[in-house]
Amino acid sequence: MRPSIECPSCRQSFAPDKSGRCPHCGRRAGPRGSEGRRRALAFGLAAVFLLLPAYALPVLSIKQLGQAEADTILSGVVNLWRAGLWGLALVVFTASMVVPTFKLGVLAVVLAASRWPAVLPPDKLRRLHGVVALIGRWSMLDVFLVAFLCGIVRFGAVATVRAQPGAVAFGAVVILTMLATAAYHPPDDTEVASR
Amino acid sequence: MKPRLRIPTSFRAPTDVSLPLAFTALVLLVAGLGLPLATATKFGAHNAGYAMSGIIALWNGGYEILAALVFACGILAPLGLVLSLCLLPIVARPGRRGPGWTRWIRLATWLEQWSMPEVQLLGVIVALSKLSALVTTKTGPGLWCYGLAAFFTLLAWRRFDAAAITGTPAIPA
Repeated sequence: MRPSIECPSCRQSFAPDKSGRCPHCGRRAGPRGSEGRRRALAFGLAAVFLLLPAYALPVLSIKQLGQAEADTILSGVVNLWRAGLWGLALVVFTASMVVPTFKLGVLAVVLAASRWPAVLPPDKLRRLHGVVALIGRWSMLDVFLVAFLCGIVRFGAVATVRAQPGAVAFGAVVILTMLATAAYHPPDDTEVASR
Repeated sequence: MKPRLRIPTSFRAPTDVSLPLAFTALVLLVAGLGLPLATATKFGAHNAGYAMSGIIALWNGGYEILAALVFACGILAPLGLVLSLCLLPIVARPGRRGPGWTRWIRLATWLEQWSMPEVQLLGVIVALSKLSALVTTKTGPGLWCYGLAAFFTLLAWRRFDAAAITGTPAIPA
C-alpha cells in the first residue's frame, strides 16, 4: 500500500498517483521541483526590491484644516506608540514590518534547503513553509487600514485621508510574497524517500 | 399525491455541520457588506464608512490596482468562498457528482487563500483607534456582522469535507 500524504490545500489525505494531484480538490500536492523554485525565487526577489519603496514612501496622507501630513508605515507605528496605543503599535509593527521581512528571510532558507537538502531536514522545511503560508495574509493589514481610512475620513477641507504610492508598493510586496509561497511546495515523505 | 419538497435531507455528517455554519456566515457577510462598519463625526458632519467606501475612495483617488486588491481580498474572495461552501453540499449531493465538483472545490480552496476578512477586520479596528485623535468615531452594526461572518466562515471551512463531495474515500493520515 502506498503511503498517504496530506493535500496542502484542502488538508485531505490521499494516496498520490502519477499525476500528483489531490483527488479531492485537484491541486498538485507534490513539489514542483526546480520550476516551482525558480518561480518562487522570481516572486521573492521582486518582493525584496519593492520592500524599499514600500517602507520609504508614504502610505497615506492626512490633510486636516489645510495642513497635510504624510505617514510611512514606520511613522504610523511611531504615532500609534506616542498616542499610547502600544498594543496596536505592536500589532501593526509585527504585521507590516516583521512579517514581510521574516517571510522573505524564511522563504530564502526554504528555497536554499530545497536546493541543498543538507541545509534543513525535510520535516523542518515543511513546517517552516507552513508557518510562512499561515502568517502571510496578515501583512495585508496596512492595506486594509489605508483603504478604510480613505473611505471614512472624507470631510473635504476639514479632514481628508488619501492613499499614497507606498501603499501600492506594500500591497505588491504582500501579494508577491504570497505568490512566492504558493509557487513552491516542499517535498513530501514519498518524494524524499524516492531520492 | 402530496407535493414533495426538493430539499436534500441526507448529507454526510461533516457537511451537515459545515452547511449551517456557511449559511450563517453568508447572511452575516451580506449584512456586514451592506451596513456601515463605523461612523465618523467631525464638527457636526457625519460620514458612514462601508466595506465598499474605501474601495471607491481608492479607485476615485487614482489607486485602481489597490482598490482592486482590497475588493478581491476583502469582498470578492470571502463572498465566493462562503457561496461555494453553501452551494457545494447542496448541488453536489450523492447521485449528482461529477468532475466539475473537483474544479469547484479547487476554486474554493484557491479563494480561501485570498479571502482575508479577519485581516480586514483587524485593519478596521486599528484604523478606528488611529482615528480617535482626528475625528469622533462610532462602530456600526456592519463591523459586528462582518467580524462574525469572518468567524463563521473560518468554522465552516474547518468543517468542510471535500471528500464527502467528490466521493473519494479519505485515507486516515
